[in-house]
Amino acid sequence: MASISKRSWLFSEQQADSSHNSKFPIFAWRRRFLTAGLLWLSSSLLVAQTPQASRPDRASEPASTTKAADTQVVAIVGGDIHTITQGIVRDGVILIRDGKISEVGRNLTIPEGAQKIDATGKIITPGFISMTTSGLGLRARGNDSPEQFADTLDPFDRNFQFALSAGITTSCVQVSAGGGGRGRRGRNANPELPFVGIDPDEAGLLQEVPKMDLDYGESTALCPCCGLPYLPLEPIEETPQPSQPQQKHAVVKSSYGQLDGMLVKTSVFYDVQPNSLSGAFAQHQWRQQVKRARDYLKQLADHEEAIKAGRRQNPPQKTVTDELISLVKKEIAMRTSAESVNQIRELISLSKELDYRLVLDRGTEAWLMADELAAAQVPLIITPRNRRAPRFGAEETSGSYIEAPRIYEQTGVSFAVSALSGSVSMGGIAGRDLMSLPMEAMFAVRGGASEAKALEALTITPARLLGLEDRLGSIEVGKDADLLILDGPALDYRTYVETALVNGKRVYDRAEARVVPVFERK
Amino acid sequence: MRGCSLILGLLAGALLIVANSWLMGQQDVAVPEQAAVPERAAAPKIALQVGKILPSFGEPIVNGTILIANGKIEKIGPREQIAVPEGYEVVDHSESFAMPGMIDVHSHVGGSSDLNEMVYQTNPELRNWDQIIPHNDQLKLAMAGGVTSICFIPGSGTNMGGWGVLMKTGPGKAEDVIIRAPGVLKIAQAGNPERQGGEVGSGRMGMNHVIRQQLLEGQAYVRQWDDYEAGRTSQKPAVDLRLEYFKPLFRRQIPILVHTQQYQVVHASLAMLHDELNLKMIIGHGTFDAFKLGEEVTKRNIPAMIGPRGFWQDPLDGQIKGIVAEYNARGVEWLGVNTDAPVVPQEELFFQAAMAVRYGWTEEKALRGLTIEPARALMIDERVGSLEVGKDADILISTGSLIDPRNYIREVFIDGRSVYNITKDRRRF
Amino acid sequence: MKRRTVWLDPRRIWTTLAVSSYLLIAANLGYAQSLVALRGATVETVSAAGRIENATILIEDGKITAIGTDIPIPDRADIVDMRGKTIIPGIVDPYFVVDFPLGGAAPAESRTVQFGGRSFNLPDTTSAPAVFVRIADVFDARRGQWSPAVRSGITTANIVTSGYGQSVIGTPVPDTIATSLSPTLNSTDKTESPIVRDANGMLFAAVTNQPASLRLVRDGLSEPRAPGEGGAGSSRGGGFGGERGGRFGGGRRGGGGGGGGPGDGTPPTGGGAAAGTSSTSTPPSPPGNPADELWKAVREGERSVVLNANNAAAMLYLAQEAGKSAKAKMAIVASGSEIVQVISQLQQKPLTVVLPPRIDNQAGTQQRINAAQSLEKAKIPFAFSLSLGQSDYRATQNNPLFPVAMLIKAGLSREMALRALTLEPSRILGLDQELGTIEPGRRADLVVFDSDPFLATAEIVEVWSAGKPLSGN
Repeated sequence: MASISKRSWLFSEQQADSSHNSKFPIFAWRRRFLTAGLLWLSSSLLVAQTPQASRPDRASEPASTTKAADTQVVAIVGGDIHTITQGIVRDGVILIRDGKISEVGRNLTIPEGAQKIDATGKIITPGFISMTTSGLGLRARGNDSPEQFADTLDPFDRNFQFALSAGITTSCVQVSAGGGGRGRRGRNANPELPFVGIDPDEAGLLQEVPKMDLDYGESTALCPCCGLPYLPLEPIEETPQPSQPQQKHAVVKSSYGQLDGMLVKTSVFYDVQPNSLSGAFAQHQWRQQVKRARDYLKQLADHEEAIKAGRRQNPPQKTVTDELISLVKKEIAMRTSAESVNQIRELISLSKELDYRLVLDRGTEAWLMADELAAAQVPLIITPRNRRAPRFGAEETSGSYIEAPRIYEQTGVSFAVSALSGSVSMGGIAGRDLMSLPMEAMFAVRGGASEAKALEALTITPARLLGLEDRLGSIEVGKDADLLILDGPALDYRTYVETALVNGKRVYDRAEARVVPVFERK
Repeated sequence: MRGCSLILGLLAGALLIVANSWLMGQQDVAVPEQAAVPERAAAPKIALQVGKILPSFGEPIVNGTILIANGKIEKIGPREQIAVPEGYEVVDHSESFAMPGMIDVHSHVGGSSDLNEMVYQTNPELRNWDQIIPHNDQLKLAMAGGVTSICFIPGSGTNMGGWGVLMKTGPGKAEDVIIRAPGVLKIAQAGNPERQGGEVGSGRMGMNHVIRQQLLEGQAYVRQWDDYEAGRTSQKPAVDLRLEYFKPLFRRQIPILVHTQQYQVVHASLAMLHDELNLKMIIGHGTFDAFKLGEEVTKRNIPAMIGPRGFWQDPLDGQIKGIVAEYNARGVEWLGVNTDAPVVPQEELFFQAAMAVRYGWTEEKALRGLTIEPARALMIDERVGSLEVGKDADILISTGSLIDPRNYIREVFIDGRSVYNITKDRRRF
Repeated sequence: MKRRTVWLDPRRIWTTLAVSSYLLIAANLGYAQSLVALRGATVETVSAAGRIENATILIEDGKITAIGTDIPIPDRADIVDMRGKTIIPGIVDPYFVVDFPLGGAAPAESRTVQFGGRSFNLPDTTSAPAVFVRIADVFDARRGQWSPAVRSGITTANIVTSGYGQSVIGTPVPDTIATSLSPTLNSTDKTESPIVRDANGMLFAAVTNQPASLRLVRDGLSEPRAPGEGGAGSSRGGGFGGERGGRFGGGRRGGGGGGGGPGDGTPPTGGGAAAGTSSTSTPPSPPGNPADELWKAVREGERSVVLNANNAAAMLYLAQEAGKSAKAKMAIVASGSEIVQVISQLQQKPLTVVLPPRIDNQAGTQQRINAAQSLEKAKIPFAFSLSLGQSDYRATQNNPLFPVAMLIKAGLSREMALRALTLEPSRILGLDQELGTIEPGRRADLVVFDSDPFLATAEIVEVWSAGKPLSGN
């Protein structure tokens, strides 16, 4: 689909010809068939036209009405509103102005001319937030500055539709690593690779390529027969391995078709490789670095004071990254993955000593020390289905535990839920790619967490981890109108997102988008 | 060191051959061994009081009782209709659900994972029940996920990987857990066994050829024996170890589990294995666009056990289609799911069904598709797959319908023994 | 596979070419025929006059002097009988890509992934167009095949490469003539070639939504900054993700024509014309650079810039830029499946769309869409580029307008289709006072069909350029 600056007709007639014939057999016909072919094609085309014409229009419909849409009120009427932070409003109304929630309640007056969305009998929740996402809505990697990054958004990424079908309206996207568009269906896909549908065996196999190193860490095994990756079960290693490059993150909304309001935040976490803070030497270096950052801040303050006092003084030299400065100023948290008790303990103690905020990915064995996490107020990003066998001789005191979510809830460790994989996969295995995010929260319920807590793990908790709790994660007046209209309870595996709104705009409609099966359940 | 192990290996091989031929002489191994109830300490007599029983057939029983003796279900019904006899231990699960243990028709985690012998394209001489590791880590998890029986099969690295075994996931010796050996013949119709080395089998034509040739050879062998046993000929055929297990196969006592997916491959499976050779078969993956053959599958009454892939993206409109639901829409009722464990973790068999329901199947059918339908497909429905009198007492006690991921298992009974109990064991899944 | 010569019968091709060669040579030597009258044709004027039956066209010194039904024909005129024929204005192709050798062009980067014992080469698409190429400096008529263009009725083409630079506006002529008469041009003044009409053509660039790529457009559309300010906007937040700045190298996927980046130290051919404008580490082009001049003309609304947008998202970014500049006009080259996604967001923007005339698939599916019709409905001006139609364009059927005919059958209006082939592309080129319609004062570029041009069975019988037949049978 990429560039269309094709010159094949000039230089490779034969090649273009054959591909062309296979695609449009009609052209290979002799002249006397042409007219008939034309009629046939056009009629089939017209048939195809009708339902399809609406799709692109719908995606960008609000923009076409520009000014009018901005001031127009959207009213969602009749659903049970799960506000997350303020209980459930039964049969309520949500009014949206300028992409924000302006009123929530029962028996509200709906302004004249408001665009009404009927949600009678439906359930309304805030949009879900995916904390671990790769390759969604982005076209590039390795863009360091926010300005550069803002140029690489792709609001037409079709994966947005799949993400929205799972209720994901906001994603914390990994920027530095690959994954984006590398799949078969990706925009950057190599056209030489066969298409899905021609050789599904191969297609499925290749689709998983970008996900392997990203999602299951270093110990992912591949099925010797089919090449599909599978979830590791081996005991975790005490010494962390460098599993993936340092990540940069950005918060991106699934504002399908819209650039406006798509990019929310670019400096999200101070990401650290799991092994880079283990060992005396690494920790010494880290202390030095943090000290340098603090020294710089102090010098900067002195400098500002000096300027204020009218003294001439050169500004201090900055020898550390802006992210590190943000970390010591507690504007952002450190995000790193840790699995074993020792590793987690080490990271917590460092964060206490050097006084910065910490967010832990995975935390496989954190359930064994939940009180320590609670005391240090270290939140977790967990995947309840991650499973690791206990180590030999430590059967009860190592490895993963399905009931970890219950323990976290009881001890007051806050946790967000991530899917097993951060990207959308069309490989065909259901329920383990990004689209399974709500299912993962259901596994937290299986593990003993309350439904309310599990729903928070998809909404307000990740919003807090991202520092966006003032905009996202709950249905409250003043927050972004990122809303889901569901056809059943949020944590029922049969529930579908019927409609999704991002920034008050309808960006997904199950019946129109047709990315997932559409049927009425008896 | 290497030389040493080589010699050892040769010795072991020689011993094996000797032992095998001795066994052959002693008994007809080809008759599937319907292993009798293991000679273990007698299973306890149990009266299970359950809040709600979900048998595979009929209406759920509210407040039911299940009597278990000798590892079998002795009685099942509403509590008021069943008096608990003397000597039965009453186990109270009146707050819980009970359902039959689940059955996975396609698993590779029943033992060691050296399941592909890649020298020959067809390997009817190979069997995998000598490498069972009962109650291994994966099977412990499997039990906690409700899987009590699996069809443990060779891999799909060759067109005919060998003979798989039907076994239970609970503890015991290998002979205790085997339900039937040989369980199934594993055939991989296309895809994985594709050879790149330039020999026949680099494409579907070649692969279909080697399978067909091997099966015809087996058929001829079994016919000789049939003729001899029926007295049509007095000449006793020579025993051929390579072909011996074809006897139960061609006598339709065991099925073939075919790794077959995509329209044209499944079509070839139906045409060759069912139409031409009249063999019992199970469609072992049936994924991608193969559901378009749904009507043909219905017509032939062939079970389709779908997985590990559960959906297919239609290139025409980019929409996700639930594969099981698509089969069902074309009239196929003999449906189930599989995990191809470890591709999908063995304990997530139920979740395969849950996702199939999400994509358009129904819960009632999914419940059957996890239990009785695979049991019928594997031809072990006399023993497992439903909660009926006389069947093995493989029972799951749970907090609700186990298709819902939020519900979990409280206790598992296999052959009438409690093998997993979350009040005693650490909860595994 | 034999090359098909479709309406040029193989048995007659040499005669035809000889005749047309003669005519062209004659034209170039100045023996222009003074007055020609085409009589009796149905004429699609693509002007207010619309379609005129049984019309007469008078052509003098290569220009149309009169068109109508009651035109008196002067005695000295050569009369050509066009009864039964349909004449449309010469087709203008606003984005005609030719792969000229640029010298030192770096291959597109790729990375190799090992998987399952096999290795796959995946393209790295983070690169951006880097080098400004003046087509006139690298133009070589022996590159490429011009005959298919002539056979398709293209009388004016905006000749570009797949990268960034300044086009040549030319008239395709049959290959034999092109190569015999047109040595490689090396300086700006050589316009004697039968192909090159304007060596100082339009600014063009392939753009995607990458920082370097977009900066090219942004910098071009904004007023030049004071020296030393060039690095603004690229202040990096001291990231630990590795310094990736300055990482670019010519060529987008499959391109190879994008040219080498300044970083590889290979100067492009053509001396002096190259300027790296897209690198994060390269200072802005020096003053007096041809690219700067061209961008200035774009900013002042004197000429358009033709931007080949890599995808729908890139189009949105470009639309944002288009909205910011008061006078600048853009033409965005796009495939139909990408453009339909952004139609509603392109309305009211000062831009024209260039797209291949074909039925497209909706992105990500195999559903057919008629992007041209959608553009017409949304009242967004658009032009067809026949050469972008790739296989559809090629002479696998007698009528090169067959793909356009399909679009008409599927709902595009006939009027709009004609405009999109002639007048709209002329506007993009800034030549709508010279080309694109059949009106007095316009250049006599004409395509003569044996019947209605949008019948599947229609054939081109003659192509006229500046009052003379380029070829015909």
